[in-house]
Amino acid sequence: MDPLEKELQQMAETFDYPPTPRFASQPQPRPTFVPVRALVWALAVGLFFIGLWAIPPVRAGILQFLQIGSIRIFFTTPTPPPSTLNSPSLPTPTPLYGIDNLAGQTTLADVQTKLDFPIHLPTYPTDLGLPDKVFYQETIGSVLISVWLADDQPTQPRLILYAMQLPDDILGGKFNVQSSQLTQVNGEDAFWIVGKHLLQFYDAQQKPFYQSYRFIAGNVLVWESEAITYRLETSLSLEEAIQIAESLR
Amino acid sequence: MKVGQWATTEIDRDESLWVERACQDDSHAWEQLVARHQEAAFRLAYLILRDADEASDAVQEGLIRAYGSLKRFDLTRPFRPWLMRIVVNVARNRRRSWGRYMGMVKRLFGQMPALSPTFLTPHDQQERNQILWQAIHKLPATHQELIYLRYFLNFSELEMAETVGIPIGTVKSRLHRALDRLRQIIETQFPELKS
Repeated sequence: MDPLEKELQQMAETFDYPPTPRFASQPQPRPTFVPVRALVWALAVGLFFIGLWAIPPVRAGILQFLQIGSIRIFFTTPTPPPSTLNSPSLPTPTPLYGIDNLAGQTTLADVQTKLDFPIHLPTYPTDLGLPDKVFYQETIGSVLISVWLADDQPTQPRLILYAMQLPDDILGGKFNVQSSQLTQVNGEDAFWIVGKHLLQFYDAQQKPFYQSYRFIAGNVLVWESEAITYRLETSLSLEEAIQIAESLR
Repeated sequence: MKVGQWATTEIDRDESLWVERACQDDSHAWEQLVARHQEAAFRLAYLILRDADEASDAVQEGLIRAYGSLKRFDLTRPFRPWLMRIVVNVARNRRRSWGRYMGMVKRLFGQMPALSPTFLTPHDQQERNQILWQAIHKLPATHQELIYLRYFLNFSELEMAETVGIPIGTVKSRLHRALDRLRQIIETQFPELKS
């Protein structure tokens, strides 16, 4: 056992757990599980927000962002995204346009050995095939970026699919979002963002990961499946994007 | 009683009998199973959710689901990993959805869940453990879970594989990657731990 493992073991042995409750020996059959504590909180939350909703500035604040998985969508007026709060001397990075400057180009075979989650790729449209370019990035977590190029413009992406497994305290912020709507992929909540916007990933201290700053020119569908956050960048319609998302195998 | 002392790769014959009887609505047999595994289940849920109330609810929900699925349980498999898998899935779901909103609510009402646990160690070691704990939480959730199973609950590799539903070879490689990543995190974000 190496020093880190020994330290983990030592730490674990001294972990001060709360006392284990006595769980019901005979669970009562009920059609759905409803934790009472959570219901009380939910009622409190509901009343709290109903009260807040009546106040216009608060209503605007509450809708300031929405979140699916690791992606948070900010409904701000067009301003530059916030740079790091503690280092004002750092310049605002130049956003990446397109995929030319994406780091971590690799192959599907290689990336499969690095990922902790299975690779799911779209099977629709039927002529899509395997991605033309694959990128793997580990700066913010495990991020697989699959790119399909346009047949008539081989340097331009037809589709870009992000599959991301990020720690809980890493967030992808989408700024200057002009239009979005709630939708569903496989019956689960998803977001559809229309038009140009900025994408930047932040850590828990709100410090940006500069390499991740991108200008998104097309529409984006964001959804979560089995703890993986997916982003699909496309110029297609929402209906087509959902069909692509639901075809992942 | 140390949680890990039940770690075994063999099927416990007594336990198989309890499971069989519990399937036939023998409440005493079910009580024996719950009593035997509740501490491990609660501790695992607590490590994932970092809140005692949430962990308690997750285990209770997990036990209800397990009880409802007993008749489908394969008696040739060990019971503990099967139960833990149910509890892990419940805890993950709570962490992803409800947990986030409830964390926000609790913060609004000034009842922030304790994010930093305590350790039964001298002060200087306590601080070091707190920092290592923060480093662990920079890992993806799946890596954190492997570390909890291996080092906090002393699960064998076979039990870990059955709990998270992956082949035993993948457990080894994934745990190896988790530790590598943890070393990178310590190197870049918590250099004080290198001393």
